[in-house]
Amino acid sequence: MLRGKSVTLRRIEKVDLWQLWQLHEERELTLFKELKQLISWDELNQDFMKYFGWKGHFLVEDKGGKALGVCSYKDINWKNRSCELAVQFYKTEQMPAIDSILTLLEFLFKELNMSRVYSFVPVFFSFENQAFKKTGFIKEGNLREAVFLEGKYHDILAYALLREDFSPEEQ
Amino acid sequence: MIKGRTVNLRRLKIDDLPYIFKWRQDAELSRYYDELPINMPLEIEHEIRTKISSPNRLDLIIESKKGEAIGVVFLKNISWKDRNAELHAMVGEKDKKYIGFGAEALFLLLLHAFRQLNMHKIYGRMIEYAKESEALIKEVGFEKEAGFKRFIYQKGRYWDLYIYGLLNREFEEFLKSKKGRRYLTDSLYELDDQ
Repeated sequence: MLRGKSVTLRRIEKVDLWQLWQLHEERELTLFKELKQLISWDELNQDFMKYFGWKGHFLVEDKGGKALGVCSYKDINWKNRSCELAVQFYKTEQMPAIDSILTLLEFLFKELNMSRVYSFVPVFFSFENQAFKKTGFIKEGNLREAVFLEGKYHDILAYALLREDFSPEEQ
Repeated sequence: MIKGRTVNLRRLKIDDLPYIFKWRQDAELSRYYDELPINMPLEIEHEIRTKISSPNRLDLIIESKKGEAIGVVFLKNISWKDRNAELHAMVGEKDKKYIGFGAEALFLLLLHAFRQLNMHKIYGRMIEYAKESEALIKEVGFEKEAGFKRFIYQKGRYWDLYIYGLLNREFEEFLKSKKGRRYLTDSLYELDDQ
């Protein structure tokens, strides 16, 4: 478990699924990749390991144990010491979002010895975009028309943070 | 098989293992693809088998008109919903007579991707010192979309990585240009059913 100032990050268990499923319906996210293609509750249960059974996928909770969102790291390249970070929040509250990103960054830079952490965020996730900017990530580019949703193409923004630029105290 | 003027593109097969292995052992080449030139034939064989059976990849061997394998071009991470894919090209044989073959192979694959596979966007990654490749893809109309600072570690230091993207309509613009028209007629693009 990773502890931040106001949130904790822990691995997702099967008992969390129902809560996640409901939160998911509240704010349309792409947590379950095939949701757009109408996945059923049974299928989701059956494929639990496929969705959540990989290392680096965390549930974000406030101190009272209420789920706020998920965050994860993936695609670690040990030679280049880089990895991708992804976050999705159910509650669009700035403080816990920033706290959970900083907590995960702390782990990636100080425990896993990463040198660079990057993230790709579609433009329409404006809350997540804000959160990345507020945690010190630098926008490195704009991948044009990279994702198709609701009838049109959207850009994806590329963010990155280098270890030497990481200063959680400033945020 | 996709037929061009100086090269053909054909599907990768397991018999190509010796070529792929040879090219992947080349230290100078591997720098451009951020791979280490220390592979085992068994690993490469496993890789080829996985590649062949993946629906999100298209791996093609570049062949000279005499049938010599000289390199590979491929699309990976094909997203059929978003209609985009990542492009890679490598000419493994360094013989001077193959200069220009890579450019045509790249062009043929782009034509195939946009005109046959109905792609909306093709993107590629480019390490900062790959100046020749960068010039080549700019010529076709690729635009620099992102610059990743200190992304790749090689020879004792970090290097930047650039992302280039090409949209369907930009490629069609290129085909209408003088250079594009010349490419098109030179390439004698045709698809045959085999």
